[in-house]
Amino acid sequence: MATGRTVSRWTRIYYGGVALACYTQQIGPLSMIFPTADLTTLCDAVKGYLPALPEVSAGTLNGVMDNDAAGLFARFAAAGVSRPMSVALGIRAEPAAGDPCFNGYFQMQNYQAGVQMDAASTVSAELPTWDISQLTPYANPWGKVAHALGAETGANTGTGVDSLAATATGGYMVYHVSAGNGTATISIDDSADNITFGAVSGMTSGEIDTSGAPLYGIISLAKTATIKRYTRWQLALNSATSVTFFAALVRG
Amino acid sequence: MTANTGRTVSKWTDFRLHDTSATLRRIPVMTISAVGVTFDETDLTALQDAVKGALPNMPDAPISITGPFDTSAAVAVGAGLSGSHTVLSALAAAVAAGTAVPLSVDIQIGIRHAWESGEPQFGLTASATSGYLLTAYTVDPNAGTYSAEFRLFPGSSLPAWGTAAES
Repeated sequence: MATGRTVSRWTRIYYGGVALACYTQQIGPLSMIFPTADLTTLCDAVKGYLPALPEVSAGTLNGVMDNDAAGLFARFAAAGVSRPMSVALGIRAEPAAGDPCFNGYFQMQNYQAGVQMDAASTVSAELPTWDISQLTPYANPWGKVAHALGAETGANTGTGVDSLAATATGGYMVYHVSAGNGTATISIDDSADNITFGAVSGMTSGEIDTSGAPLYGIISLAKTATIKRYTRWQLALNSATSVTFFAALVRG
Repeated sequence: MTANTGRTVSKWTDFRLHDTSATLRRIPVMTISAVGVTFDETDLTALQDAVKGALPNMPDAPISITGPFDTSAAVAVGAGLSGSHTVLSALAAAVAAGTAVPLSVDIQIGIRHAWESGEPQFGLTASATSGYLLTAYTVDPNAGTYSAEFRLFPGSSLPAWGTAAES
C-alpha cells in the first residue's frame, strides 16, 4: 500500500456487488457536508456555527453506454434501485488493502443516456442520497479497503491494515461479491500486534451463497464496539472453493 | 533568516490546522479563500440621504480550501506535509460522531521565503470555546483533489491578522 497523492485512473467502483470502473469515466464528488446552524448572538465577537445532520453523497457516475451483460446498462438501467457502494481510491496503483475507500448505501436516482452529434454514447447516474431504509448508526463514509477485488480460495493468514490505534467507536463492513461457487462467510479479524488475530465480533456476512453473485451487504457494529489497531479480511469457505469479492472497513 | 517585507507570491503560503488530537499539521493546499474577516453590511440609507450608507455589523471568517487528495502519514509541522485525507477525513468523522472540538487554524504568508515570525499570518489559536470546525469535506476522484470548509464555533474569539504563529 502506497501513500500520498494519486490520479483518477486508479479509482475503482463497486455498486451492489458489481464492479463498474470499466463502464465509468467519472464519479463524484464524494462529499460529506454538514449544513451549518447559525448560533451567533448579539454579544459574540464573530459569527459562530454548529454542524447539523450531514449529507453524504456519491455525486454522479458518468459512464459509457455499454450493454454487455456484466455492466451498468444490464444491471441498473431501470434506475430507482438502492445498493451499497464502495469507491476505492488506489494510490498510484490498483486499490490495495489500506487504501482509502468511500462507502454508503446510495439510491441510483436516474440512468440517463446522453446523445450528441459526433460524440460518444454516454450515460449518467446520480447517487445523491443515502437510502433512508438502509441507514447505519454511522455518518462517516470514509474507511479503508480491507480486501481489493480478487478471488480467494482459502482463509487469510497474513498481516493486517494498521489504523495506528484501536478504536472503541464501532464501525461497519461493506462487501461486494462478484463471483463464487458455493457458500462462504466474509468477515473482519482484528489484532493488537498484527500477529495474533481474532474475529471482530459481529462483523460478518454470515454464510452466503456466493453462486448467486452479485451479492452485497453492509454489516454494522454497535457504536461502542472495540476494533483493535490491526484489521484484516477473513474468508471461511463452506461449499465454495473460490470467492471473488471486495470489502471495506469503516471505523466509527 | 529574518522576516522580509514587501511583496510575495502564493508559493510561500502555508496552511496549518489542528488534527483530532489538537496537534498542528501542515496539509497540502491549492487554494484558500477567504483569508480574513468580512463584516455584514447593514444598509441604513434614508430616502433623503445624499448617498447610500451602511454600517458594518457582525463579522464572519469562513475558510474554504482545496488541495490534492493525499494519504501520507501525519507528521510534525517541522517534518513536512501531512496527508490532507489523513487529517481531514478524521476531522470529518469526529464531526459526524459528535466528538469534534474547536480547531486552531493558521494561514501563514511568507514574504518571498518560508514564513518567518514577523511576517503576515491569519488565524486563531483554539480553546475549548473558540476555534474552527470542519463543516464540509468533499473529494473529487476525477481531479485527485479535495475541498473543505471551516466555520467558527459559536462564541469564538475573532480571528485576526498577526505576525506570530498560532498554536
